[in-house]
Amino acid sequence: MTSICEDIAYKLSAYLDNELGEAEKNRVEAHLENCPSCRGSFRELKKSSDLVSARLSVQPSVDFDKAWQHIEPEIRRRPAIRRYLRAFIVKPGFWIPASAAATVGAAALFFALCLPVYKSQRPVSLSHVESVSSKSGSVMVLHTAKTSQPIIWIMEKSPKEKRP
Amino acid sequence: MKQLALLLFVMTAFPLLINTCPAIADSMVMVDVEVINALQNSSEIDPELSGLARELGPVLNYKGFKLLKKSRLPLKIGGRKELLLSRERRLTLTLEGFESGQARINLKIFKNHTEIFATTLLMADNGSAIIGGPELKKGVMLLRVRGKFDG
Repeated sequence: MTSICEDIAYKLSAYLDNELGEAEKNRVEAHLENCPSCRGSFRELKKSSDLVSARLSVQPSVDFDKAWQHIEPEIRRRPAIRRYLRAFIVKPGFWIPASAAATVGAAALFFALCLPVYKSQRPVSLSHVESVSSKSGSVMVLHTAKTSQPIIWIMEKSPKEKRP
Repeated sequence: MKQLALLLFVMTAFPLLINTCPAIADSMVMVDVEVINALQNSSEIDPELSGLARELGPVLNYKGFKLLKKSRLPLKIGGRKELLLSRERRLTLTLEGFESGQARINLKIFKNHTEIFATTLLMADNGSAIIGGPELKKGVMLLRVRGKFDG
């Protein structure tokens, strides 16, 4: 391999990608016509280049842009939450008030859940007659036998004349 | 510290709110008034009065019970409702307030604009009282007053 061949070998890749100026391009082409060794190297290079191009021309089956839209917020969010929680939990004096709050909360929850149940299970208190007045002045207050409901009996006539 | 205060507030306020809600709601009583004709010379009982007939059987000497009228009157504290019982009688109901879990209901019967009867009942939730005696048709008039606290 001559020093010209070495120089041309450096330029083969640029020639292949059509990146050389007109004069350089003509020089490379003229050399490739006369030098079988460089022509062989160029052929190998072109073969590799064509192979890579063929692979790259296949369209990817994954929509990377769309996938990234899902991934990016997750990446941004997670460390922030973790940082916030860590800062909150490891704060000096966190556990004592937190324990107190949990105890108060548990007690409040207990009353909230149990009191309505207690109320609903409480025996129904009876109705009572607080006061009665009648123009005739004759009123009886009785109670039913089974459920003790008050019965107010108004006697529009005198008790001797009419009884329930 | 702010977060902790917020946590404490939520944990205590929520259950307190749940427990105070019934108290707020107990400012109203739904009163059901049934006007019944009780008869001695009949054993006909309206199906929806069969329970009442069984209750009153051992206490009163009436065998027939006929439902004449049924009204539902929502009563607010201080509120007054009126119901016509017969051509000449009318009933007024006033909710005076709540006391030890009972509703204080004032009940008056007027005959031709004259008050003939008044009573104050301490009505339990779902409780009832019966008022009877005034002559009606061939028997007597019975009023069954039932109160259900709203909420």
